[in-house]
This record gives sequence, C-alpha cells and structure tokens, in this order.
Amino acid sequence: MTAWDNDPVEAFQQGIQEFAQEFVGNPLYRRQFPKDPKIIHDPVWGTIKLEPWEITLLDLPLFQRLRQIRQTSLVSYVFPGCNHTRFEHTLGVMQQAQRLIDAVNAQHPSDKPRFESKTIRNLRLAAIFHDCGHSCFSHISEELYRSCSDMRAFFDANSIQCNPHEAFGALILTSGPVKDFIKEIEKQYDIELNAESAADWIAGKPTESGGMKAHYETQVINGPFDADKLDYIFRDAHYSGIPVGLDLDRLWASCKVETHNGDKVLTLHQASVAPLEQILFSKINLFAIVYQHPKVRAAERMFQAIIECAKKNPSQFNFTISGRQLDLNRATDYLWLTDETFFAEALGRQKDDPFHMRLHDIRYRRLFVRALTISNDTVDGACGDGYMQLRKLNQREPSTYEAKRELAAEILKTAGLENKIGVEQVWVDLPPDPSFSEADRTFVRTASDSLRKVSDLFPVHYWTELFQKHKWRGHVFCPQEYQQKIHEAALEVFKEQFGVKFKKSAGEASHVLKPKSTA
Amino acid sequence: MRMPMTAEDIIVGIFYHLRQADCEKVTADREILHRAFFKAKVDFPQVMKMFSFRQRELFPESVQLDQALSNLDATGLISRQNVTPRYYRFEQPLTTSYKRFSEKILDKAGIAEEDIRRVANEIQRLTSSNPQ
Repeated sequence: MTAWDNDPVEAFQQGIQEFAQEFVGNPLYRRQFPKDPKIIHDPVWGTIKLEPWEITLLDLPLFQRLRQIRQTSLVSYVFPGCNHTRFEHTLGVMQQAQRLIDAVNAQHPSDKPRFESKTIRNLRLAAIFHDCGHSCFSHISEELYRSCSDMRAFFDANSIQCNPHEAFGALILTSGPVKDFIKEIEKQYDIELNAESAADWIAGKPTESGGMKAHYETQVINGPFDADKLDYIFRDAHYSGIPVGLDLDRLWASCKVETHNGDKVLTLHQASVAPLEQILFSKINLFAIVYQHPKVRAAERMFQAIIECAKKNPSQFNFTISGRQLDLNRATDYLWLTDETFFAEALGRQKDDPFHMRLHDIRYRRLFVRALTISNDTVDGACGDGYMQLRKLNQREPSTYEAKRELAAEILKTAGLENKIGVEQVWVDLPPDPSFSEADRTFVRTASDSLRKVSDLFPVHYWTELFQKHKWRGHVFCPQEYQQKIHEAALEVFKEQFGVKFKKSAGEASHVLKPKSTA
Repeated sequence: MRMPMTAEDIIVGIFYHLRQADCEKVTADREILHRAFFKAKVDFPQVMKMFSFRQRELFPESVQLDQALSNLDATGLISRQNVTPRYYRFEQPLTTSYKRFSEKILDKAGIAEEDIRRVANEIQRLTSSNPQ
C-alpha cells in the first residue's frame, strides 16, 4: 500500500519531496559553485545582473526545466512570436523586483534604506522561486492539477488561499532538499537566506513583527503592481506583437511605503495613478486579444482532452520522466512534466495511433473549430435566467467541469456522432473572468496626505464589467468535419437544458457554413 | 444533466429574498460586499461553503463572489445604473431565475430556504450600514 492509498495529504507532501530531491537534491546534476557574477541580456529589459549564488540556483534542473515551459501556454499557435518561457520571465521578475526595491529605497536616506540588503536578497530568492511550481503549458495544467484530490485535500487541511502554482513554489522552496542546498549556498558565499520568508511572499503572506504586517515586502512579489505582473504584461505584449504603453518610470518615482491601520503598505501618489490604469487596461487587452483568443482556447481544450484520457486510462500513456511513471491523477506528478516531455509522449507511438494523432493535431496545428459562439451578442436577450445557468459554469469548480463534460456528451449524442468521435472531441468552453482586483489593493496618497484605494478615486471595475458584457466569449469546439452537426445539436441542447435561444450570429461568428437560429 | 450548485445560486437566492423584503438594490462597493459575504460565511459556513476567501492587504476577497456578480450582471439579473454605478439593482429575471432554477438547485443541495433568508438578512444588515 502506498501513501497515496492511505492519506492524500501525506502523499502530496511526499510528492513535493520527491520532486525537489530529483530536481535539486540529486548530486548527479550538481555543478561547481560559480565565483563571478554574470550579466544576461534580456530582449525586454536589457542587462540583468546576477550574483554567483543566484546563478548557482538558476543552474539547477528545477529552473532549467522552466526553459521548456512556455509562459503563455499554447498562444504561440496563434501569435507565433509568443514562444517565451517561464525561465525568461523568472529573470525578468528578478529585474523588476530590483527596480521596485531601488525605487522605494530612493525615497529614503541611503543610510536608512526601507529594504535592507538581507531583505533584498530574500526578495530576489522569492523572485527566482516564484514560478518554479509551474507545469507544462503553465496555467492550463494548473487548471487541471488544482482539482486533483491530493491537492484539494492539502489545501483544505492547511487552509491555503493562494493559487496552486504559488503553493507549489512555496512548498518546493521550503522542502528538505532545497533547504539543504540553500545551506550549502550560504556557507559557500557567506550569506544568509531565509527560505521561509521568501516562501511566504510567494504565497502572498506578509511577514509580521510586533503586530505590524509588512505588506510592502510581499507586494514586491505578490501585490497589485508586483514584479511578476509588470514583467508578464510587458513580455507577453512584446512577444505577441500587441504593444502596450506603460509609464513605469512614473510608477517607480511615486512608489513609497506608508502606514495603513498599523501595517506597512506600498503606495502611489494620486498624481501617478495613470501607470496603474495603464497596467489594468493592458491586462484587459491581453485577455481579450491574446489569452482568450478562440483558437488559443481550442488548442488548450485539445491539451485538456489528452490529459483527461491520461487520467482515465493511465496504463495507455507513457509519461515517464527520469524513470518515474507519472500518474496525472496526482497533482505533484504534474511538476515533472514540461511542454517538451508532453509532446515527447507521441515519439514512442505508431503514426496511426489515436494518441499520436491527437498530440500531433496540436503540434501541427490541426485545431478544433468553433461550432457555436456564446456571448451577449449571440444569445437571445429574453432568456437571461437560463443564460445565467449556462454562464455560471465558468466558475472554477470540479462540479462545473463535470457539468460541461456532461453537456458535451449530450451534444455529441444529439448530433448522432457517438460512433464517429469520442466525447473528448467536443468541448463547451466558458472562460472564467480575469481578476482585476488591483484597484482595491493599491493605496493612493492624496493631496491631503490620506490613503485611499484607487477604486475610490476611479471606478476601474466599470472597465471589467464592460469586458464581461462585450468581450467575453464562450464556445463549443469540435473537429472541423463535424462542425455543422455539432452546431445544430448544441443549439438544441442549450434550448432543451437551459431554455437558451441563440441568434443566427452564434453560428456566423463561428464561421459555420449554414448557421441556424433558435431565437 | 444534473445542474451543479454554484455561488450564483446562493446569490440569486439571497437577492431574491432581499427583493421579497422590499429591498430593490444592494451596494456595488466591492469592499463592503466582500466583507459582508466573508462575515456571512463565518456565521453560516454550510450555506456559504461555495465561497472561498483570500485575505489580501485590505479585506478578504472571494473569486467566486466576483465571478458570480459578474455573471448575474452580464446576463441581466442585476444591473448597475447611470455612469456612477454605486449599487446593483435587482431585475425581473432574478425572480424568474430563482423560481425556475436556483430554488430547486438549492433545495437539492440541502440548503433550506429559511437559511438563505437568514443569510439575506445578514447581508442586508452588513451592507445597509454603509449606505450608498
């Protein structure tokens, strides 16, 4: 009997240890400790300087594997330049964290910096580790392992509130093998590192002393305008070819630590809120144009279809990494996967093998097509009550996932295609809203020296509501050759199940040959 | 297909009962709403189990609550009026949505109507002390 059979929480913890042991603790992969600092040239930020201890960490397989994980999942199949990886992003976050720290320290006397050298080192440590918990295709796999029973049990048992990849990052950083390696680094370079603090910052928890919470430290890594957000917005926009304009100099120049209800928080001056608005507007644009592009969503569902099969039939798949046969019903086993190892599964298969074809359908861009577009523009306005029941399935819950899969099965059955294709070829895709809570988390210093939320001064949420009403699109996806039949069946099923009627535009927007209407 | 219960059904139930008590609107101030729902979860953990909260700098935030309000707004069950929208107004489809779907879904999930009414009273108390 394994720990997995007994106790999912124990199995989860054991899974973290095993991963950390292989990717950090394995002496086979160790290199000599470098003596000199290094300069790396980054296409987005230019020169990035790294200390020898940082290079030692970045050379570990734990971080080198991030070169094999694309930052923006399968976006590159639509925006071909978007091939940047989590590794580049990690370096960018270190750079942006340092700029934020320098900007805050510039507001203080040089002999009394707000961020002392020890804290700066630990913040850079957090920046290095902040995304090490990502698996293949970044956030799409996160959507899958977040519902694994071992992760859910661990989250429940420990009342964890952060995102799953953040939890992974924090747990890896505080695992035995990593702590042991950090001890070696401390000895080698005569420095002190605090893995616990860095892990707290990754998970969004502030450090506390004397009843005062130091939010400003956490906010460098996990805050409303943190280094992570600044890098990914710039980097994703740069590589997707969707230019954004962010006046970061103005943001830095106004950034200061203030006290709010006894806690220390990062603040901006009222006259410098524009860069934050630019960040939010750019984020809305990236979601509308890039991340939620229908073809991107279609490719992601194809990936999900393969993982779904691998979970149901583990024996039919061979995701073996470093001799470990992965079980994708375990959240921690996803850590071993990268984009490369995912696609490599096809290598050992014959070319007429169905899974070889499915993997290569993604790789060679034979993507699903839209059979129906679900939006405020395509749904008949008179059926709001039923439409809400359909749309609520965009909540991230195992039960809503199951409901969408049941709907897909119903559509397939109604289309009379059960003998032609499997249910994994039909998807009801209802993207969740992006979070735009930054305006409620950023404090602004007003002319009267009081602190207020950005949202008190400018109703940013109005933008997000407009996004939801006018930009949000759900879809039904399927293979090209069954588009017409699935289109007609989906119309029927949604009318039957929810009383939702669609206009002809639901098919027209999906380029269906003979679009129908139920309105 | 078995319709799952989500945060939307709980909120539709709460707003329906507020409407039954002659309340036509609720504040749209995000901080007040999230604080109120957080408090309601503390007091009524079973009814509010669909909501999880993350404590950030200022107040506890729930992604399920944000998503549900957005879905209700986008589908016309509630609405914000004017260019400075300070409250959500309950619209007619809210009632039909409750009667047609959410009432049965909540019942099947074992959530009593009386419990939803009590949560609605709590939400009203917590949000009306901050009139918009």
